[in-house]
Amino acid sequence: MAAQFKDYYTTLGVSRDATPDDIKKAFRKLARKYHPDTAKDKKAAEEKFKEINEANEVLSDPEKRRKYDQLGARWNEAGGFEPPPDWQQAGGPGGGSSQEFHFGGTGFSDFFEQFFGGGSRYGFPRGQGFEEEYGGATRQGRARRGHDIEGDILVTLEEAMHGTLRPISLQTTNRQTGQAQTHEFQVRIPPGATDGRRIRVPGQGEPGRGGGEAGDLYLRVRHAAHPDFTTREADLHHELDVAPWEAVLGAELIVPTLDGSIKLRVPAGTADGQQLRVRGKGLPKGKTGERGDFFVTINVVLPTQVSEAERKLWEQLRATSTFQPRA
Amino acid sequence: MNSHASAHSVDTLAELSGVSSQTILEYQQQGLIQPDFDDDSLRLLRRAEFLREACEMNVRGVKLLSHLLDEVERLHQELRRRR
Repeated sequence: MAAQFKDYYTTLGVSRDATPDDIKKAFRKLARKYHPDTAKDKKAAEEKFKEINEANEVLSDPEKRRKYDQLGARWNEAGGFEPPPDWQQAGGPGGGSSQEFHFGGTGFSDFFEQFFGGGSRYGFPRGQGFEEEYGGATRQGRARRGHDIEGDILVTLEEAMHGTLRPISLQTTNRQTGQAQTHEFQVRIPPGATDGRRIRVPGQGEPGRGGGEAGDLYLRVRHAAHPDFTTREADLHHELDVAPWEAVLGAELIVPTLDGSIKLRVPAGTADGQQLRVRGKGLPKGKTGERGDFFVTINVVLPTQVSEAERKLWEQLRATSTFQPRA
Repeated sequence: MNSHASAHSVDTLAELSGVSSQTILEYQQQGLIQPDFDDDSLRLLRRAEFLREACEMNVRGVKLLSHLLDEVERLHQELRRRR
């Protein structure tokens, strides 16, 4: 049975023909509003923040958005939502609903997990031949290790910074008996879990056969999009809008980091697009106590509307300045 | 509870993966797994074994395909970051 349909356009408050830029702006605005660090009701905000992230994950990806729009065409038909008959073919690998396992507690909804989840069964169990895997002769009675299972887990940057414990449930279906089994367990997200890193949970993959051991579960960390920061390995990146005079004359500005605000010195003569680095203000690197760096990219923003007094000052600057940008 | 991402010894890795220590060291020399032997090494090791045994590839083929799979994943990640 299909999971309950999620209207991601409504979640982000954009029309179905919204441009990628509209989606980006809507996401940033809502993410800032519902960010657990700033909202009053942290629990409700956290849920909303994850919903917004999920909607952004699908709508900001052209391929996922195309697939979602295919699904969405039938969402309010009488008798409840069912995916189109050709959904699986159109969805391609990973997009189908025929997977034999189902995740819970990963930060994504059942709907996302069913249609857009990155979960996959992979790996080569010891002692299993190619023919057996792909439908050939089965050697009965031989102990075989279960497959490894891989899935995505949505982690906020705050969770990545400090680490957290996550209750996860994994429902697997025995391919021989058709019986479903649900396993519930806690997964420790270590401080400094970088985007793309896989966390191994031993023995929580597909059950083994004929007395063989179970495979492992690999959870691939996906950093939730943050309104102010992006990450690259353990480094944290932030874009800072500055006025032209702040860039030319230099300034001391207060900028947010994941563990409080800091005072950043913007040197005189800083160019648009220039990166400033603050050492040791990124994510933790393993257990050494060392941390990644904080990179601030300067965006010089020009005023689009000026008062009469400001116009006079710009005119005075034009008359006085020896600066020749096209020289 | 999940395991820590701490390093394994070559013997532990051999036990966990069912791959001989000698093959593990050969994979390491070929650059298929990093010498820190952590949980990700175990995943890469199982992938290499899958390609070698089930797909009947030689080590050069395993190396080439592993590199391509990693590159695809890296590009996916970069695309996601830029959106």
